[in-house]
Amino acid sequence: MTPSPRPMLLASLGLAAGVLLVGLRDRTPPYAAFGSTEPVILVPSLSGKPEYCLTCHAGIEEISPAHPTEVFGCVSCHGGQPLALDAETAHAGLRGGRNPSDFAVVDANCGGNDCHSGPADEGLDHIHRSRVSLQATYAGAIAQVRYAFGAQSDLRALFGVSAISDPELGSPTALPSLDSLLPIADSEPEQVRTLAARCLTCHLGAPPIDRPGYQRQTGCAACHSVSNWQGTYAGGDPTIARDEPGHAAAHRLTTAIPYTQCDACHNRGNYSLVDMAFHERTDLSPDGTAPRLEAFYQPIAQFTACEVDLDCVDCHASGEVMGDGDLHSRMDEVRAVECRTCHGTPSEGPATRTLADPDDPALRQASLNPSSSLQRGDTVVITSRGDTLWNVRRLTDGTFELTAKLSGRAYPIPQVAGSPCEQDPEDQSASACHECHAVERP
Amino acid sequence: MSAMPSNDLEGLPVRRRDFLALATRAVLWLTGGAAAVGLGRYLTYQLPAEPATRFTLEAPEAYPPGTRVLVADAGAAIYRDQSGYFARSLTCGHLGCRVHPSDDGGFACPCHGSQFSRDGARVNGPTARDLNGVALSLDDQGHLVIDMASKVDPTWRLMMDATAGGRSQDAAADKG
Repeated sequence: MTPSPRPMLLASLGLAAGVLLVGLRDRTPPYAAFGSTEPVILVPSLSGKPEYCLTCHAGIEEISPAHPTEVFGCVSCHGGQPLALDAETAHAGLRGGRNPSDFAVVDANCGGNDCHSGPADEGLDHIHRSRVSLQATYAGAIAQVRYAFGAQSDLRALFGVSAISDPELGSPTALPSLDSLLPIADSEPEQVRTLAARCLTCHLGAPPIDRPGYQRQTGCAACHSVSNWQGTYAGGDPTIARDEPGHAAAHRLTTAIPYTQCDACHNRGNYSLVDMAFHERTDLSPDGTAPRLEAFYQPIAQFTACEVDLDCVDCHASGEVMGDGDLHSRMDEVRAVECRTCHGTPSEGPATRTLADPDDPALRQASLNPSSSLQRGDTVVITSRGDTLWNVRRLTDGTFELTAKLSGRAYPIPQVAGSPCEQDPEDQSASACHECHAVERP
Repeated sequence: MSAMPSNDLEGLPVRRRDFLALATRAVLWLTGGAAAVGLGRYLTYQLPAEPATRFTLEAPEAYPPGTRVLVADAGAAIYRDQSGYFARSLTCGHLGCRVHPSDDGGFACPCHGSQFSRDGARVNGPTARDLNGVALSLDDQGHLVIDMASKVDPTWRLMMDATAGGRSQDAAADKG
């Protein structure tokens, strides 16, 4: 019996439709939504293994000149499945999600091959220094509150936000270890328990307060990856939502950190010991458009011209900000920059050293900043602790000049010696200098 | 007067059944053809070509004594000194970034600031190594050929046979 032709035709049309669908799917893969119709292959020279990440993440910014995409690729820092072409599979096994520098995962992502976990004398112990720094342990604030409310007899820190030890004591005030404040003991005074409940958002391991103006990442990226006021991404990666807070403004790391990044933690308000609550500044515009002078300092603060014109990192070098590699109780144990560091005293100029060794870490640090022209043989200023301010140079005529790390602008540095300034070299408190040199707030 | 309903297929040269069978065969052939094209593409997929490691350069006469010529495609610098011809890779030994000529006549790595002299000797780190020496040879047409996959000692030189008017039939390597 001859089969009926209509079912045969329908079956063949069904088969044709199936083949067509497969073909169309091949031509319009999921990643086509991000602009690519073919997988984009990258073989970073460091691993020599192919990665398809840029198929979707086309247009993403190179993270930094020190981490070129063609050398590092994506996987060496982020992990994940480099050969997958769908988001779910590709992102399985990411180390740290969007932020590989979070302290929970930073060793695997940034510390490999001693990149940032190398010897201290070569200046390569970035992870260790950051992790034991006061910005990470929050030990100073905890000790202050415990001391204020009778939980300890002096200001020597006993607790951090997590337990940490560092048996190598490199300075007289170094601590061998800190216990974890959390989980908070019932025996702690109520105010300390309140501190633990409300106030532990300002250390490098904690996510920030989820509001505009407080936006930053955690770990290294908290400082080195700049966020905007809203915490939204404004770069070229088509996969990242532009209206979702919690992102850095671009996929970039920088050592030229603007003051706005520091402000996200250090200049939004104050914790009050009276009610153990955070009191937000009320003088800032809600959209983050306050003029630099007003945004920079709270109304009660005094400041000098250089403190406003420059960015924080122009004076507060990594030895202060990232710490000296020891656990400490208070910021003044690592603070090294004073007015006389750059301006000298009535009797002598700033302390300096000449960069004779071509392998001097200061030269390497300077080479990461495109505005620097520092060279072997140059003489630069050092702090009272011996940290090098590579952007403050003594010129051949004996004068001093600071190069701003963000703008590259050169600032001649007036010296106290030979000027009418009546500085007491032993009183380097801000109030002493502000007495004569404070800038009026408009 | 009422009109009788007409059969539209009447008078056509093909019966409906034959037409459907023909259409079925046509669809099947087209489907089979499309599938065959897809299968063919799958079976003939060409893996991405490996990056080239050998590059043909100019004839030796194009490199007078004292010259340093950058070959961007190869990522190398070609030199000629009194001893002969030699080449250096422009890949920094620290992490593999491409070094660039610097103002002082040497090379600088844009990634972490390693610096090298004009002939690739390490000046400062973080790299611990000089720029790698890579092998040169002559092809049948008398052109220099650089092989980036073949590393050689920094003192290696490709020497020309002086009796051949500066053009060597037998390129020699001096290990000294």
